[in-house]
Amino acid sequence: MKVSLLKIEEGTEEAVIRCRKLTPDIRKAVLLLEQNAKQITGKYRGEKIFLNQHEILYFESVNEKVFAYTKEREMQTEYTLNELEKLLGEDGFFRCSKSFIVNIDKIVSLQSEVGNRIDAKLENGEHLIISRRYAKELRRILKEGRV
Amino acid sequence: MKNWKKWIRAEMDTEFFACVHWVSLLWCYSMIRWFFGVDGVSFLVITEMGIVCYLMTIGQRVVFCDERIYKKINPIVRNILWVFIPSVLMIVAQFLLGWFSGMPDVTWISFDIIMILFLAVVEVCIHKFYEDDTAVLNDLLVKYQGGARQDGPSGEK
Repeated sequence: MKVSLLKIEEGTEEAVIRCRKLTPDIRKAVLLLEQNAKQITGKYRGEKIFLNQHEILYFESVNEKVFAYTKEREMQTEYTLNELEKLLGEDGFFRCSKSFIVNIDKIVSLQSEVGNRIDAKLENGEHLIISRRYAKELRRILKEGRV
Repeated sequence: MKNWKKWIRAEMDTEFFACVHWVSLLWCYSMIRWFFGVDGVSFLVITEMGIVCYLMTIGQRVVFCDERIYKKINPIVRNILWVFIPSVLMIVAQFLLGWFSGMPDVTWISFDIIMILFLAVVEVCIHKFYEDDTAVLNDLLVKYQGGARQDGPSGEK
C-alpha cells in the first residue's frame, strides 16, 4: 500500500485512509490511530459502551444526569459536565451554557444574534444557543485557535 | 453580584427595545390621529403604550430566551413568533384600552398594518445588522477547524 505523509503547520491533524475494502490490516491501522482519541464511557440501553470523542456532538446535563449525543444515538455518561470540561477542554470541547458542552469540530455554522448570543448549527441539523457569557469565551477560543 | 449584573443587563436590553417600540407606536398613533383631525395624545394613552411595549418586548425575549437545542424548524417558528406575539398584544391592548374609540375603522386598520410591517422590518434589519459578525465568526470557525470540513473525508459541508 502506498503511504503518503503531508506535513501541515496548523489546523487539525487528520489521517485519511483510502481503501477498496476494510481489510484486517487497515482495521489495525485505524485502531492504532484511534488510540490517541479519548474514550467516554457510558450506558446505552442498559449496556456499558465506549464512545470515541470524535463521534460526540455535544453533552447535555438533564436532572443531574449527563448525556452524550452523536449523530446516531445518545448515551448516559458516568461523568459530570465539570469533569468532561476538564477532560476534553483542550480537545475542542467547549462549555457553551450551564447545561451543555459542545464539540466545536461538529459545528457547521455560527450565527450572531441579538444580545451577543450565538446560534451554533451542528452537523445533525440541531441548533444550540450560546449565551452572552459563553459567547465571549467562544470568540476567544476561535481567535486563539487550537493549542 | 454576578446575578445582579446579569439581571440589570437583561433589564437594560428589554427597556431599550421597549423604548424603540414605544417611540414607533406613539409616532404612528399620533400621525394617524393627526391625519384624522385630532391634534394630541393623552398622557394616559402614552403611559399605556409604554407598558404595552414593555410587555411586547418581554414576549419577544421569551421566544429567544431558551438555551436548549432546537430542531431545524424552530428558528422559523421563533422568527414568526417574534412578530406575531407583539402584534397580538398590541391589537388586544388597543381594543381593551380603547385607543381608537370614536374614530373610524380605517384608523386602527392602518395603524395595525403599519406596526406589523414595522416589526417585520425591525426583524429583517436585526438579521442584516448581525450579518457581518456572522461572517467573521464563520471565518474563525473554519480557521479553527483547519479547513478540514471543506475537503475532508466526511465532506459534511
